[in-house]
Parts: sequence; C-alpha cells; structure tokens
Amino acid sequence: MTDSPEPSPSGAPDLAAELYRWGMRADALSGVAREQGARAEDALRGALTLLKRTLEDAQASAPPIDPGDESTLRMEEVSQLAGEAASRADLLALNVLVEAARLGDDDHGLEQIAQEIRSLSGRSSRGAQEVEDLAARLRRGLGEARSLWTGTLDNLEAVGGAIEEALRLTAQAGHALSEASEASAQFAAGTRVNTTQRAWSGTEQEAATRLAAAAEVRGVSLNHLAEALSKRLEEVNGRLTDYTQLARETESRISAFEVHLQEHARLLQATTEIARRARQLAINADLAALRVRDPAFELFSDEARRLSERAEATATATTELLKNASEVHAPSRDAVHEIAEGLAELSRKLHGVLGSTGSTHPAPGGLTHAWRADQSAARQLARARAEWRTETESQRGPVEGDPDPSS
Amino acid sequence: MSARAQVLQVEAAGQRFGIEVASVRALDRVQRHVRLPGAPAYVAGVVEVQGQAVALIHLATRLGLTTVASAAGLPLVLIDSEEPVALAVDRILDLIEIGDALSEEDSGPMAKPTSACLGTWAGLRVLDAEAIVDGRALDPLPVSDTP
Amino acid sequence: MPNDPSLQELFRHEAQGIVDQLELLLDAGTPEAAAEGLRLAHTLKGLAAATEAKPLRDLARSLEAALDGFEPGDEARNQALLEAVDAARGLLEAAEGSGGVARDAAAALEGPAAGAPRHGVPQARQALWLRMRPSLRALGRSAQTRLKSLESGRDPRRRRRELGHELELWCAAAGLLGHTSAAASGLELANFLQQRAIPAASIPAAQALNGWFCAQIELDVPLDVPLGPEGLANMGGLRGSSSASERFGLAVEFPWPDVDLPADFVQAVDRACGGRRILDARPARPSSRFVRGILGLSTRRSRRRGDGAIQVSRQRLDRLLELAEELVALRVRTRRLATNLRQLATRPRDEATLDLSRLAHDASELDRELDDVARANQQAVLRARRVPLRGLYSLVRVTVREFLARHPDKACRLEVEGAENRVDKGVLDLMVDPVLQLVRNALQHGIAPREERRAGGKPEVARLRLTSKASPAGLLLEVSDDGEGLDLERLERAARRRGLLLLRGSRDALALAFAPGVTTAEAVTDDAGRGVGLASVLERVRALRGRLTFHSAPGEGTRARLAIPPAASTARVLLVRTGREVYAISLGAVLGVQEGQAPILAKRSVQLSQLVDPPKVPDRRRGMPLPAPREGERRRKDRVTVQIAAVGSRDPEEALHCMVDDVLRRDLVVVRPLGRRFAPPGIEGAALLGDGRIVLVVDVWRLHAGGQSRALELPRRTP
Repeated sequence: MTDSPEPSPSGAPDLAAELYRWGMRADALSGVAREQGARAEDALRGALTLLKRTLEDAQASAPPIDPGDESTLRMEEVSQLAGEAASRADLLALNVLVEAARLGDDDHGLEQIAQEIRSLSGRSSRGAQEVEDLAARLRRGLGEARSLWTGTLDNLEAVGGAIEEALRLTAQAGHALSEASEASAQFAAGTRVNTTQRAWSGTEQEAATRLAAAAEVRGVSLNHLAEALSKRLEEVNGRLTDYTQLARETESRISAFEVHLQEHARLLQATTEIARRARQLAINADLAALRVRDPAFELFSDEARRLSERAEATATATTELLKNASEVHAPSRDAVHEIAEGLAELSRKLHGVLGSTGSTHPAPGGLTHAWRADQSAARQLARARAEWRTETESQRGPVEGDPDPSS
Repeated sequence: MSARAQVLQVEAAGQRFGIEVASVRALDRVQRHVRLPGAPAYVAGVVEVQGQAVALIHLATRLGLTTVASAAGLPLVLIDSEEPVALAVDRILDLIEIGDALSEEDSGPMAKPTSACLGTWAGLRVLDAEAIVDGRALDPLPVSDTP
Repeated sequence: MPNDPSLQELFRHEAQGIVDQLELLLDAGTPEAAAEGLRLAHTLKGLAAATEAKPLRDLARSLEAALDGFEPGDEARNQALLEAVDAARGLLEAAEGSGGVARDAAAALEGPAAGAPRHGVPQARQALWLRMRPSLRALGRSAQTRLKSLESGRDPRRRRRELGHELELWCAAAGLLGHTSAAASGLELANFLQQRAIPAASIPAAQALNGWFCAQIELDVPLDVPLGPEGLANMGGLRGSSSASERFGLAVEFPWPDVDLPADFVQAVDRACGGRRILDARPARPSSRFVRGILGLSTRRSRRRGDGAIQVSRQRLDRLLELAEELVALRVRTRRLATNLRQLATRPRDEATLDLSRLAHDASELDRELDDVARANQQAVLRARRVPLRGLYSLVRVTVREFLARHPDKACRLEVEGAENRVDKGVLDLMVDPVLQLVRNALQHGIAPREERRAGGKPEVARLRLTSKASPAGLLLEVSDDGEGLDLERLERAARRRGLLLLRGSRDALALAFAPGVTTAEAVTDDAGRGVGLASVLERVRALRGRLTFHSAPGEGTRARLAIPPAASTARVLLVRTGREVYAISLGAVLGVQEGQAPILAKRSVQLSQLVDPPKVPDRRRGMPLPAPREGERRRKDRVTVQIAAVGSRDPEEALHCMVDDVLRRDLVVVRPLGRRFAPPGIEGAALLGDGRIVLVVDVWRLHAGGQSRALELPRRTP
C-alpha cells in the first residue's frame, strides 16, 4: 500500500478509509504477530528445554541424599564398636586391679594402668553415645532433605507441564493471528483496488461485512486465548517463584549439614585421641607385663593391645565416615544449588515472555500488545462498518442478512 | 604390702557377695559355652577362658538362690583353685578394701559363717571361693532383706 | 677428597641416617613432619654437595622442592616422595655395595670404607673442614656485604635468598663435621637472610651473628662441641637483646660459661662486627633448632638394617611349628573347598560337572596329603623340641652344692631319678624356676641343721629326692625331702600379720603357703623368705596348665609333685550330631560309620543321645546354636551308627555301636583338656572348631561305662 485513498463520494470513503487503514494495520500486524509468536514460542521452548535439562541433572544426581545411607549405618557400627570396647575395657581394668592386689602391686604401676583403662573406657562409651546421637540427627536431617528434594523434583515436573501447555496456547494464538492477518492483508489488498469506486458492489459489501464480523468473533476468541495464556503464564511464574524459593531452602538446609560435618570432625578427633591413648596403654601394659613377669599378665597386655587395635579400627571407621559424609554433602549441596539457579533463570525467561503490557515496540511482551491492537482495530472496523451500513441503508434500505445496526 | 585385704564385689540373684581377691584369677564374660552332660545342675557348662576349658558354675544356683536360666553373656570370675573354675554372676561390681578380718560380731543371722560364707564385713557376705568351686554340699544361705 | 674412603663412609653413614629419618617422617604425613623433612632434605643436599655426589644432590634438591609444597593427603605427591627416598637409599646402598669406583651418575658415592671405624675419624673431618673453609669464608664476607646493604636500604632480595641457601648447605655440612658452633651461627644467619621482610632492629644482631660465624671460620677455633646432648646444652645462640643493646648497642650470649675465649677470637669477632664490642658473659641457652636437628642426626647412631642374624635353632623350630599350624589352617580350607566342589558336582548334568567332580576328587586327595604332612610336620617339630631333663637336674645339683657350701651346719644327700625323661624345651625352661624354688625351700626350711635332726631322732644327713616319670598324660616330677615340713601354725600367724583374709579356718591352712606374701621366715635371705616362693611355683605350674600336689606336715617332710601335661596338641576327631548338639569323637577309636541304626545282633549298642542325656525340653539357649533344621524336616533320630573300637581290639564284634543323628565331618581340632573336677567320666575336653564353636570331646566307651554305674556323681574332693 503506497498512498492513501482519495475520499470516496458517499459515506463509503470513511469505511473504505477505515478498511484501508485496517488492512494496512493488519498487514503490519501479521508481520508483528508472526514475529511475536515466533519469539514467544522460542522463549517458551527455551524455557522448557532448560527445565528439562535441570530436571535431568537433578534426577541424575539425586541418589546422594538417602537416609538409609551407608554412612549412617556405619555410624551405628562405629558406635557399637566403641561401646563394646568400653565394656571390655572395664573388665580389663578390673582384671588388672585384681592382679595388682594379688601381686601386692609393688610399684608395678598396675593401678595406674587400671585407672587409665577405666578412663579410656569412659571416653569410649561417651564417644559411642555421641556417635549415636549424631547418627540420629544426621538421619533425621537427611530424611528431611530427601523429602524436600523429591518434592522439588515433582514440582519441577509440574512446571514443565504448565510450560508445555503455555507453549501450545501460544502456538495456537500465533497461528490464529497469523491466519487472520493473512486474510486481512488479502482483503486490504483488495480494498485498495476498490477504494476509488464510489460504491461497493454487493459482494464486496458482503465480503466486508463478513470480514468485519469475522474480525469481531476472532477478536473475542483471541481475547479469550490471550487471557488464558496470560493466566497460564502467570500461574507458571508464580509457581516458579515458589519452587525457586523451595530450592533455595533445600540448599540452605543441606548447607546446614556443614555443622554436622564439623561435629563429625570433632568426633574424629576424639576417637583418634582415644586410639592414641589406647596405643600408649597397650605399650604400658606390655612393659608392665615384662616387669611383672607373670604369664597371666601377658594375657592382659594382649587384651590391651586388642583394645588398642579396636580403638584404631573405630578411629579409622570414623575417618571413613567423615570422608563419606563430606563426599555426600558437597555434591548434593551443589546439585541443589544448580537446580535453584536453573529455576531462577527459568523464571527470568518466562517473565520476559509475559513482558510488560502496553509496550509499543516489538519486545517479547509485544505479542499481547499485538493481540490487543488487533482487537482495537477490529472494534474500529465494526464501528466503521456499522456507520457505513447505516448510511447505505439510508440510501437503499436494509439488506437481508445485515446484522442489526443497533447491535 | 597392704595390711588391708581386697575383695571383689559381685552380684548374684540380686544380692551382693564378696570374693577374696586372692582367689580371683581373672574376670571375663561368658562367650562360647557348651552344656556339660552329667554334671550337677549348678554347672552351666564348659567355657573357654584364657585359653583353657573350664567348668562354669552359676553362682546363684550354686548358692541355692535360684535355678539357672542361661549363662550366655554373663560376666564370669575365674577362680583360682586346684583347677580353675569359672563362676557366672549377674554383675561384677568393683574391688573394695575391707578391714583386717571378718567380723564375727556383726549381729543378725546374716553374719553367721556358713559353709559357703566366710563371714560378713559391713553387710557384705564374703564367700569361701574354694568351697564354692570344689563341689561340696553347702548350707543354705540366709536370705537378706537388703540387697 | 673423593678418594678419602673414611670420609666417604662418614658421609654415607650420615646420609643413611637422614634417609631413614625421612622415611619415618613421610610415613607420619603431617605438616610438621613435612617441615622437619624439609630441613633434613636441606641437610642431605648439603652433604651431597660437600662430597660432590651430584646425583644425590639433585635428588635431595627435588626432595626439598616436593616437601616444600607439601600438603597432607596429597597421595600422589606422597608416593613420589617415598619413591625419591627409596631412590636415595638405593643410591647409598649402591655406593655401599659396590667395591669399585664408579664415577658415573649411577654411583653417587665412591667406594665403601670396609671396616673403617665410624667414629674417630677426626683427621678426615679436619681435612674436609679445611677444604670447606674458603667457601665458608667467602660466604661470611658475602653476608657482611648483604647486611651492610640491608642497613642502607639497598638490597636485592633474590641474591640475599640465594646466599641464605648456600649458607645453609655449607653450614649443614660443617655441623656434621663437628663444627657445630659455626654451623649454628651460620644457619641462624641463613634463616635471617631468607626472610622476606627484615626488621631493621635485628640487623645489628645479624651482623653480630655473622661476626661470630666469620670469627669461627677465620681462626679455625677448635671450639668443637662434643657431639651429644651435653654438648648441645652448652651451645649458645646469638640473640640481640634490646636492654643490653642500650649498653653495647648489642649484646650476645656467651655460650660456654666455663670456657675462656681466646683473646684473638674475641678480637676477630669484634673486627667482623665492625669494631663493636659485643661479647658479654651470659649463661648458656639452648641452641637453634637447626643445630639441634643436626646433632640429633649425628647422635642417632644408625639403625642397623638387616639385623636378622641367624638365631639359635629353637626359634627356628618355633617358626616351623608356626608353619605347621599354618598348614593345619590351610588344610581346613582345602577341606572346605573340597566339600564345596563336591556339592557343585552333584548339581544337574553338564559337561562341566565331570570336570568339577574330578576337581573335587583332586582336592580331596590334596586334603589327605596335606593332613598327613601337617601332622607329620607338627610331630617332628614337637619331637625335635623335646630335651632330656638332665639339664634341669644338673642345675639342681649345683644349687644344692652351693647351698651346702654356704651352710655347713646342714647336710643333705641328693637322690635323682629319671634324668633321661624328655620334655618340650619350652616347658623345661618354664619349669626351671619352680623346681629350683622348691629345692631351695626344702634346703632352707625343710631341712634342719645336723644337730636338730640328731636330736629329733633323724639321720644327720637329710635326704632330698628329685624324681621324674613320663606318662602319656605328661610328665610327673617330684621334689621331696624328709625334713621338717611346714609349720602351719606359724604360717597362719604370718598370714594374719599380712592381713590376708580367709582366716576363719575354713581354708586349708596348707593353701596359705601358696598365698603371695606369706612367709614364716624372720628375715629375707637370698634363698627364701620373700614370701613369694611357693606362690610363684603355683603360678608357673598353672601357666603350664599343670597340677601341683603338695603335702607337708610337721615330721612328715614335704612332697611336691608337679604334673605337667604335654604341649598343646591337635587331635583328629569325628564330629557327630545328636539332637541339637555336636560332639567330637576321637578318630583313632572309630572303626567305621554306617547308615542306619545299629545291627540287631550287635553286642553293644547305645544311643549317644542317651549317653549325654540331652535336656527334655528343647532349649535353644543351652549348648551351641545350630542352624535350624530345614522346613518340614523332623528330627531324624539315630540315623547313623559309628563303630567305636574297644580298647586293644579292632574287632568289629567287640565294638561299641553308637547311634547318632548325623555325622558331620572329620576335623582336626585343638583340644583343651578339661579338669577332672566336674567332668563326668568320658568327657575328655573341649575342642575348638575352625569356626570358633566349642564342642566336647567324648570318649564314648567311658561314657557308656560310666553311665551304667552312674549314681548322682558328686564332684570328688581332690586328695
């Protein structure tokens, strides 16, 4: 369309002009609509891909937080070891005291050894208790984290569903709009030819009428679509915000395990200390056995050595536990962090798609705008048509099939 | 060398007894044991302690206080004797030092020595370990009302 | 210098010590250990440099670099470090072993010093020291220059650090040569120079340090500190103290309070410090860590590697015994393997099962052979360990002779018998003390002086008998005398004095003699009276798992009889099950095993279940836990009959047919004999199975015989 039409002789020029204008707009709009639609689709599709990838990653790294984890089971083992060691140590201490009494304990240092054994035993059982408590806490925490995790995964899937639907709607809307724009463009091309005529032919009038009516209907349905889409996207965005929140929460809960790990470390220190003292004790017991030169006492020093070995085993087990826990902790925390980030990004993208309303240039949010513009144009067209009909009616009387001018 | 003697306190059938430390060879726990056929009822079986197989006597049953249920897992006192014999008790408490001699003047039926009991010291009945493990018949112990 | 073998040996020795230490430190794996290791690597580098051992020096350099960036838990690095240490050791060993001279990279050090004494090479040291001096002198002068430019503020740091490094190397070597004072100051200086930021206030102190260092080198003052902790204590370090610096501008602690420094030395120090008087007499203080480290190295005489000289044959025998026991364990595993294979072979038909059954057969063969070998091995070793009692008897003779020589008022004749009896050497060793103790007791307490005996109507010369008898149950050894016997009253009194409990007369007074600490002796002598004699005898006898029978009464003399069982043995048994309990029957007595119940015509048949009188109510808590019978399987009673030979006859007609529920397997077990007290006749002992369970070993004949005459068997009081 290059030049605007000359005003037509009868009232037709206004309609014609209107039609012309509408045709022009329609043409432009169709381009915009196509573009917008494409952009919206891309954005949504991109969001969907991102979501899918986030979901996959999440599912791939899911296992670490399993409350039935080996590490918590092993903690129970450790606690049992320590407890056992403690009760055997008590027995040993008594044995040593008995032996000391029988030998009169002339400076054999046996009493000291017995005291040391007792003290070690006390520490050992305290240690066992601590390990048990820690295990319980860890298990609880892990259980919570796990349910948070699975909750997050479920929600992510739901979000995916919503986005897919939004995508569908967008495609639908874009398609409809595109079609309509095509028709309008054709008509606009047609009207250009006819604007110079003074009067439109009946067919043309009918065509114009039909078009106008169709435009109105379409406007309504597009309106609905737009609303639906809008609503859906709002929903998605709302949920995304929630889930992002949730993911961040999970992340911080898992981070809180750092505290537990520190406790682990303290426990490790304690068990290592016990192991060290047990080792010393075993050596002292050996020395005492040599001094005492009583074969029975060698059995005690053997026992002390065995205790020391068990203490070492406990320390080793605790070290392993600590290692495992750290290994478990960092990746899960990282995984959840990634998910949170992914969700945040998704949210941002979708927000972009929804866009700000009323923007005039073809930003992603312009799709809504394009629809609204189309609607307003259709309204204007309807008005123009109504006016034109009134005029032509007044010229030729009502024609069958015309919609009621007062509607 | 101390002039005071030491005694190992144990608990059997809810009552406390003492065993002179001179009779105690070792303390342990009943782990593996087997039934000893043909032995008296108070012999709970045979255990392995410190590399030897020894007979296991359930102290409470031997003293006539109860009948043995199972000796598994109970703490045991290895009694030094011509042959070592293990005594299964309910709990091993602690070593205490007691006075120069058992008092004969403690009042009450509890204080009287019996074939099983050397005497009493501050309410603690000190057992004659040798008598317990050599299988002779024992006088019934008076039941104490304080544990 | 490379041609001086004693010097080479010296350095090689030190280097070896360093390498050993490094290995230990690397094993520790802590940052502190790494820091220590770094210092050692420094020293090693210095050593290698001083002896022109280039490969070793390069190695030490890379060790240093690796230790510098040490991080605990860095496995790869740790591994590399250990390999480097191994390489270092290899280099040193190559030098040690190679007789010839190798000037290429493969041999770091040249020529072993065969037989050259480690210490006492002062000339060699001195020679090396003289050689090193010029370099050290030069270093001292460089340090002076550095320090001056530090004062003025112009200072290239890199050069300072390099200087520090060089100083370290050379001073480390100097320390090893015994010039520890110079080394100390030099190293402190090196430390100082290597610091990044140097506080201006400490520059004068460093200059003093350098002065000391230079003076030492200049005058070659033989202020050799003797290597060792004492020398170390005498060493001083140089410190700048701010209060003293007000007086002198600087104060230095004089390390040897009792030694007069030669005047020219003092002057040399002053000169080196630019004319400032710095020496002041102060008490000694411990030296720097570096020197301590060096001295520690030097004083730690080398760990003798490869100390395993050939030991006496008894240990070898012990080892053989261990091997024998290992064989037994192996045999058990082989047996299990065979069983598994056999089971596999009974599964449904395949080509494979043919091979499997062949394998099973082979494994069984192997099992039998191993069995024989293990047993033979063990027997042979046990036999080899048996020695006659003669040695013990000689000891007794000597003891008696010595005693009589010291106590001329007593007379005694020693009668011996059974010296040719053999006993396990280990057992013999443990028997010596108790037997000698008994003999001494007899001599001291039991036998009265001549006069007394005559007055009492006894022959003047007392009789002391030492006899032994070998029996399958072990060895019986007896020490007896015709002397006084124990005075039980005195014993009781003494026990009461000691505060022993049990003084209520219920305990056999004789047993008091065995309580530790009881003695009737008025005074402690060498021979007896400490009150531990009989108690220790008893302990030892129990340790040998034997029995002591002791009889002593006034006028009757004393008789002590030791019964020592043979050394631990294994027995081949057949494991059978009746009810839920498993028993072991000595395999030697078993003629055969048959399915089904005893033949009707068998003269003697018993059910094992009857003999062992299982409890009426199945009590899962008693006895040993068995795997529960499979579902649907009721107890199949008395399915198998074991034929047990009568003593002295392998005639099946005479055999005892013993019915059991099942025969499990043959096994080789360790038997611990049970005491006589509570065991009814027929229970021989307890055996430990491979899986840790205990089973009773039964003599079925005896059980059978005992059962027939069994009244309620009260445990006998031992005589």
